[in-house]
Amino acid sequence: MKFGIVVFPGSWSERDMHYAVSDVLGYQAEYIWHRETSINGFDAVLLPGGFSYGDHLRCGAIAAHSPVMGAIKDFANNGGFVFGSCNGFQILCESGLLPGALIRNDHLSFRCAPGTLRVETTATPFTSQYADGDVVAMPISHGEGNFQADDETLAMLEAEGRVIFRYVDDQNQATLEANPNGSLNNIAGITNEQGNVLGMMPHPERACEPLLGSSDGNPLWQSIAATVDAGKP
Amino acid sequence: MTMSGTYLAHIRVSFKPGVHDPESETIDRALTRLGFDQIASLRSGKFFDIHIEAKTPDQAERTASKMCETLLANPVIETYSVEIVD
Repeated sequence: MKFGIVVFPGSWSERDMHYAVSDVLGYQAEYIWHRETSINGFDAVLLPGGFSYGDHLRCGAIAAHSPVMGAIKDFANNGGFVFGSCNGFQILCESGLLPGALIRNDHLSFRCAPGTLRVETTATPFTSQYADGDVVAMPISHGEGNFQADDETLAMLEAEGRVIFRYVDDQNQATLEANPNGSLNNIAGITNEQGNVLGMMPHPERACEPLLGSSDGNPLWQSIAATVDAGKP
Repeated sequence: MTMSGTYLAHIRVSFKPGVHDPESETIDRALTRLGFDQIASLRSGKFFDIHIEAKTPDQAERTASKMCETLLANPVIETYSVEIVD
C-alpha cells in the first residue's frame, strides 16, 4: 500500500498525514510536488490541509489548476482513490472532482477545535473499517469550511448516500449547535458519484494516536488500504 | 499593420443570489448598527481591473469572460460581469 501525499506551496498538513499513514500505521508514503505531471505507482493520493497559494482568490482555486491536478483527475477518472481534507477538500471542489463549494464559516471566525462526527455509511472505500453510525472524534481547523450547494445537488448527495461524515453533538444529533461552520445539513464530508473521491473538512491525520486525544482517524487510512488490498474499486 | 490595442476590463465577481453570504450579512449588520438604517440590501464581492491585449473590444470581452469561467469565478456559487471601459 503506497500513499502519495501532494504538496502545494502553502500546504501544512502533509507531514501530519505522512506521520499518520507511515509512522503510525506502517504504510508506504511519498510526497508528490505539485509540479509533477505523473503520479504513477501510487495506490491512493492524499491532498492535505493548509493554505495553498495563500488562499488567494478562493481557497483551493489556484491549486486546482496546478500541473499535478491533471494527473490526479485522470487517476480519479480511472477509479484511483483520492482523498482531501480541509484545504484538500476545497481543492477537490474547485477542481470539479467533488460537487459544491466551501465558503467562509457563517460566524466568520477561524475555528480550531475538537470535532465530533457521525460516520453515515461504511459502504465506501474510505469508511469500511468503521461501524455504521459510529461517532468519531477528529479535530477541525478552518475558516472556510461552510459547505454550500444548490438544492438539487444537496438532494442528490443525500439521496445517493454521498454524505459520509456529518457534524453531530455528544448525543449523536446533527444540531445547529454541533455545526461548526454553517454547512448545509451539517455536512462534513462527501464523495463523488463513483465513490472513489472523498473530501472532508475535519483532519483524520490529527486523530492518529491516543496522545492526541483520538485515534479515530486511523480506520480511514486502513479502509483505503483494505480496499486496495482486496483489489476492488 | 495591426488593429491591436490594450483594453481595460472591469470584472465583478459576487455570490449568486440565494447563496448564503455571511460576509455581506455581517457588513450589513455593522452598517445598520452604525446608524445606516436605510440599507435595503447589500452585497459584497471582488473586482479585477485587467488590461487585455486584443484586436477589438469584443475580443477583449471574450478573453475576460474566459478568465472568469476558468479561474476568477466559481460557477457553483458565483456570478460575474465584464465591462470593457476603455
